[in-house]
Amino acid sequence: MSATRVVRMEEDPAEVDTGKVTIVPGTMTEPQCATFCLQDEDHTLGNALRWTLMKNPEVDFASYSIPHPSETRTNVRVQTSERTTAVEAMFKGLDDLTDICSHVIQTFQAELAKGEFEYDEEGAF
Amino acid sequence: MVTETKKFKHNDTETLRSRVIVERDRVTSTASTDFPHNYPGVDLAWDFEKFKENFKIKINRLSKNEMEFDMVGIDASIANAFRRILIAEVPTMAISNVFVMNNTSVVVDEVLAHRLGLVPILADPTKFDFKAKDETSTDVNTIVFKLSVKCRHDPNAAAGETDPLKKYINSSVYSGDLVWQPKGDQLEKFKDCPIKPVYDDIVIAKLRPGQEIDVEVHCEKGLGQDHAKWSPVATATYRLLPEILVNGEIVGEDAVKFQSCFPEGVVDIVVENGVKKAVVVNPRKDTVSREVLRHAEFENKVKLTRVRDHFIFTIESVGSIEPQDLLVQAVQVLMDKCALVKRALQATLQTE
Repeated sequence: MSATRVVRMEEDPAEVDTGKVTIVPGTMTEPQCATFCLQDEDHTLGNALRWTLMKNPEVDFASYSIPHPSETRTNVRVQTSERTTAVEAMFKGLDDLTDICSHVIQTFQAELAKGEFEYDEEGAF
Repeated sequence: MVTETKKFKHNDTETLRSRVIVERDRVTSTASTDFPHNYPGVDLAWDFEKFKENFKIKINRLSKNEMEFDMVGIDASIANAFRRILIAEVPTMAISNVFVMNNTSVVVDEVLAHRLGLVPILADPTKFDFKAKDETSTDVNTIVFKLSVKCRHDPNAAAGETDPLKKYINSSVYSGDLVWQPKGDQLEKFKDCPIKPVYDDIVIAKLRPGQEIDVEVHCEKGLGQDHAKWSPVATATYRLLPEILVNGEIVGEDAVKFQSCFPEGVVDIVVENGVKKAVVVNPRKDTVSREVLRHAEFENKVKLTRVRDHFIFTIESVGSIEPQDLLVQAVQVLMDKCALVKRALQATLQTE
């Protein structure tokens, strides 16, 4: 087991940690459903991702849970229609969330550049 | 600023979808329901172009430490992600190791170390790396300060002086007494903005003649989720925009009573043809105390709601990162998370 791992590391030294996202064993009975386990993630990503997943009309069911409060992992369950797969829906959800974020930054910086607000050099209001 | 008095219908779908309803004894319609297939004939599928059209940010106030802005047209799950990241996941520099050479003050070592840890440090965290547990300290992951203060009598103090600040020299140890020890190319790298505590007047300990503190402290990059000393904000909060809906008109003495149910500036009284009339002018100022719902005369005449996708954000920085940069960094953190999960998922799929 460990030997195969070493070989893989040699093939691609810049490989990302495969333990970050795993598919919970036995949850992907068909490509249209899966439970993804995100290591070191919490409500911050879990809930935001759940929302973008649910916005996808091909997603029949999406939710997240934190199975145990002292384990820093989040499970995300996705079930889709026949027209797509759970993995594809997951990628779309992540891309949509990225789009939202980049648009928020753009809008904020444009608003900041306009300078149409009360500015107080010193401390608090 | 006068907003027209809106008539309300009794909880139609549009209201349920776009408003949180504040009733006398409860809050209803709290969860967002704007998902595909939820409402017949309404397409609520994700549409980036539609989002761009509706999404707005308006900065209301900005200062060195604080910012208030409106973020409109986004779901609570994402606004809340920004808030959570601001508090717990935007990296900053903070003192994490204290090497005590000598401490004869009344403040014991561990309390002193804790107090030092909470001092905000003015240093750009993006110019530093995280230090792994087994890694050695270098100029790219550690900032070093020295704090060495000794208290003694002031020979020039008046005979009957009782004020310790005048009677003794160094009766208080301040954050400003921390002296930066530049390592490697730090002096060159930070010549435009020398590293120092954000505030020089934070009392760390008090001393009396003969007592001294001599410590070396190491700052490391960290996240608020590990310890609050790494949190870049004093607080980051949002509230939903309040809305006051009135059916019909509220006139005469009722108008005066209506006005007194709200904080100052929310409701104005206008006199029309010699009759007093209540007009809602600035619901933003309302605290949504629900006082107005307690009175029988306003029953079925007034309805309180909050606009579900209108967030009034307040970011109060601790001082190390300016609030306008904080928001951008927080959103960036969420983007990085998405990218990391995407890459990790791709890697997992390849190995399977």
